[in-house]
Amino acid sequence: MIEIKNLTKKYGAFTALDGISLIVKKGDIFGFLGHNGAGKTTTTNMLTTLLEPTGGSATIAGFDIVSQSMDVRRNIGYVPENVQLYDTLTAYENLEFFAQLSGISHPRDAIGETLEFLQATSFAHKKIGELSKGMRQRIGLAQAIIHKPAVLFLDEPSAGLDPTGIIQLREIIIRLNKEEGTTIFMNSHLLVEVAKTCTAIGVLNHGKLVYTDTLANTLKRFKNEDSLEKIYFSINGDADNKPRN
Amino acid sequence: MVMPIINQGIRLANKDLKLLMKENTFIIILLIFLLMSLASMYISWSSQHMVLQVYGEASKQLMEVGKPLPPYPFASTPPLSIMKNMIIYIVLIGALLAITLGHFIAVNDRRAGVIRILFSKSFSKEDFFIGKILASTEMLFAALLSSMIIYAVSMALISGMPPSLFLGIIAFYAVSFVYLAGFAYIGIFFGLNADNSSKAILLPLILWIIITFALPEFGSALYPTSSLNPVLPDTSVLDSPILKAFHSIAYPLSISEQYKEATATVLGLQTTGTNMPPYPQGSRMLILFAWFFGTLGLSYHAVRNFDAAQGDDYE
Repeated sequence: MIEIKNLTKKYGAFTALDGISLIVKKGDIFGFLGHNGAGKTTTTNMLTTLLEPTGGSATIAGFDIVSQSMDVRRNIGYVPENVQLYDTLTAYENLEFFAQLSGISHPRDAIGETLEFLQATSFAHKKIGELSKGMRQRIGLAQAIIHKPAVLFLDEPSAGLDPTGIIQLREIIIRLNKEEGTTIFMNSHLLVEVAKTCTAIGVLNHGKLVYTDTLANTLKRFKNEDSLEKIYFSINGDADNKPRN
Repeated sequence: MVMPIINQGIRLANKDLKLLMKENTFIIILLIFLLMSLASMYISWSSQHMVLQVYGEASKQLMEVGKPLPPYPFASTPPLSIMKNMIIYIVLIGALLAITLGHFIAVNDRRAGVIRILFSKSFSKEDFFIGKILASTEMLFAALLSSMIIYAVSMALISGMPPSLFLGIIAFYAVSFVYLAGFAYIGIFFGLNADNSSKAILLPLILWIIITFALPEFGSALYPTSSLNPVLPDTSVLDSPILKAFHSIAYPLSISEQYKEATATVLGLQTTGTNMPPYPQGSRMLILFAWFFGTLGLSYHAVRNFDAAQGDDYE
């Protein structure tokens, strides 16, 4: 579903992303891990067509992120970190606007269905500025899935959420993956969440992909480590080595 | 499903209009335009009314003593001279409102932090440009139309309003639209280019000061206070070769002077301008159109170079 080949991003002399190659299979929930500044958001920005790569290529649902960017956009949904929406518009009005931009001409039914799926119908007519962080996150997610994309990108989806919000979000992500078959690409710092949600992981360090495999294989490979946190630090201590997989 | 490009632009413009209405920004701008029109109309009418009262009194007294009556004071005054204050209100207040409008329309998505979401949809930079231009044009058009209706109704009540006068009013507002749209596009340009709200609003204001006060001073040796007159006084820039050289460069760039001269001609007012060879009316309109399309091009350039990945970084 996502194929990345030697993807590179340079800003002058600084290399933000150093030739990463990666495959995310259809139906995967892929957890993209790394320290701050490792290049996770740069990767997501390129895959969501917001940023052009300096080198390499990537396809999403078979479409090239540079030459077929509009086709890519029709097949993805994106929830940026600390998702924000138009505060003075209601949740419904925000969703109506983004649904129309996503190609849904008469979005009423799609909005109703999406809000129901996210259990957010009760605050549809509240202004975004009046919603809690968790509710806002759900509306942010709603705008990303309203057109039933093949791939959903989530950038630090749990950031700023309280424990209840984190649990609810996790359940939604898993349901979305199981019920709708959506492939999910998720940047995260929260290793516990990644362990509970993802089916595959990749670890990025200083712009290099230092590890990628399924979560099951990873747990088998690092059977002496008792948590993903320890596995992560074990992998990431080896920053400049080649990918192990 | 491929959607026509214009639809996405219209959707963005509709959202911008909805936001400006909800935040009361448009209502405030509209009210200021309406107050400005009423004030301009009242000031012109009351000053004429006062002169006519004095004239009436004087005529009565002169008739009583059998002396000849002086000519009617407004015999050679064009009927649309009642709108002359509006010229300067447009230059001073209208341009600032247009900058504010363009600024709000440009930055509302950035302030909301939704730029990355917008550009992850099947939504191009051309859609974004069309949406922003449509929204600012519609708002400006609505404000000027309201002001025009006030003038047309008032003129109809005062003087019966022959159709030729109505055409003059329409021409005045059409020229004003071209002038103000340029400022709205400047507001959009800086709103998209600046990384914070202080720069985004201060830079176009500095440009407005240069256009409204500095260029007329260099271009026609006008003192800043002279710029506040709707019709330019005579100046003597030819006396100095240096000022003459400045004039030839700065005068065409002095958009506010071009606007004042063009609208004064449209309203049938006497345009004295500078004592340099007069510019034909056509060239003034060409300069105003160059301003309109130049600023439109600038805002397109701002959209083309806008970094969608960093677009939400705005304070």
